[in-house]
Amino acid sequence: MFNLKELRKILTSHEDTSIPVSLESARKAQEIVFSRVEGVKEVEGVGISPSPRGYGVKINLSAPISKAHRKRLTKSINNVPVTIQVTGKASVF
Amino acid sequence: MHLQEAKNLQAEATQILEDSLRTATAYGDSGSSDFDRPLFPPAIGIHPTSEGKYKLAIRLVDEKTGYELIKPLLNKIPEDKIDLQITGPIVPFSSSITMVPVSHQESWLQGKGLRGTIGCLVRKRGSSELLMLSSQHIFAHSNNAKEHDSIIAFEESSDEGHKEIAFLKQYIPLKNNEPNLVDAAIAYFKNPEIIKEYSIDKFGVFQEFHNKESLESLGYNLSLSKRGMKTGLTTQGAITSFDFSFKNPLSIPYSQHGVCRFVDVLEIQSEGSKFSQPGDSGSIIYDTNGYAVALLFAGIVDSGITYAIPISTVLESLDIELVSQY
Repeated sequence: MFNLKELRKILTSHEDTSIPVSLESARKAQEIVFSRVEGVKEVEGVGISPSPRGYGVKINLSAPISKAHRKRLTKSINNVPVTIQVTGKASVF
Repeated sequence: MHLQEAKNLQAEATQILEDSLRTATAYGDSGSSDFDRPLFPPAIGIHPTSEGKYKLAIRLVDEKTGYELIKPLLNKIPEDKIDLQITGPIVPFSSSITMVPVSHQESWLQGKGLRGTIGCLVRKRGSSELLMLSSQHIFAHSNNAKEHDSIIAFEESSDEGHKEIAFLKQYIPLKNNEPNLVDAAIAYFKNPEIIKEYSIDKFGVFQEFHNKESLESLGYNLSLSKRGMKTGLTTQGAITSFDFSFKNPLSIPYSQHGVCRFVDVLEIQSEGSKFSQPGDSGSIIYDTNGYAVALLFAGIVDSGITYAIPISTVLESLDIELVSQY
């Protein structure tokens, strides 16, 4: 089970607090992230997330990934914060 | 009081109310049965106060009959622990009944089928016919059902008791070779009067809904709830991601090709307890104002993470509108 306070800390931990992030910027960053995670089977999905500066990108992993793959997932893309959460594997309910 | 104490009190109050309702008479009729449940019983919940504490929330349809029903509660629970409001008719938002198309009933009884939740009442735009909304993989058995297939309601605690309550009207086919936006289907009632029967007396109407664009700006501040077949009423959900697109397809039970990829969904996570589990598919997720937000369809078991389709996407795809009263 997830603690939302901890999650919010994760989501806001990489902040350069000076520049607001627009939804449009976050969407562009999301597309870049999607291209970078091609071939990383642990990536469940990518979405737009909240950030004190507006928006960010969130990557969900079904399991922890290797260091090599981790290097492809930078903490920010074009100043849009990127956060990663190991969530597990999704299924229909 | 603290949250855990409020939750304990809620459970206790719910039991007291249930025992009380067994001897209550129905609103406005002479009471021909020993067990006539009011169509709109009082609602019990948890109310956060401005000081970061909690009270037991009690919501009544009307003052006169409502007070009669909650007298046992007021006799046992101190007044300073209660937040009481007269709100008018409150209809819980999802039905906790099980359903499966009858064409697959035999396979379900052999342990191969799916259970789910009816989300709410809807109508096709321009039509007055009452319909019910749920997930496609529940109502339409992942593309394997056909129009007019029966929808079966099962008693929550029994595999034996079941009855035909509706028929499949329309579903959005799940696609294997391209991304899916929606997992939703609608059914028409065998007899609309069934809404008032005990077996589905918790059926949902919504006054309003959030469209996708509004969720992008204020969605993170919404406190979300849902009532599902498996986990019942769960609260304190929050949107932690929107426009979430799965990279990997989800395994879809009984679908012809086994997997479908979904895009542009909402991710909801809850404080502490699990928001949903398998069986809650079809539930409507809503905010504290009773605005519909999304249709629950997936999640991560035992994690508190839920995935849902924005309700505006569902309404547009099926060309339907929410029913605010009937």
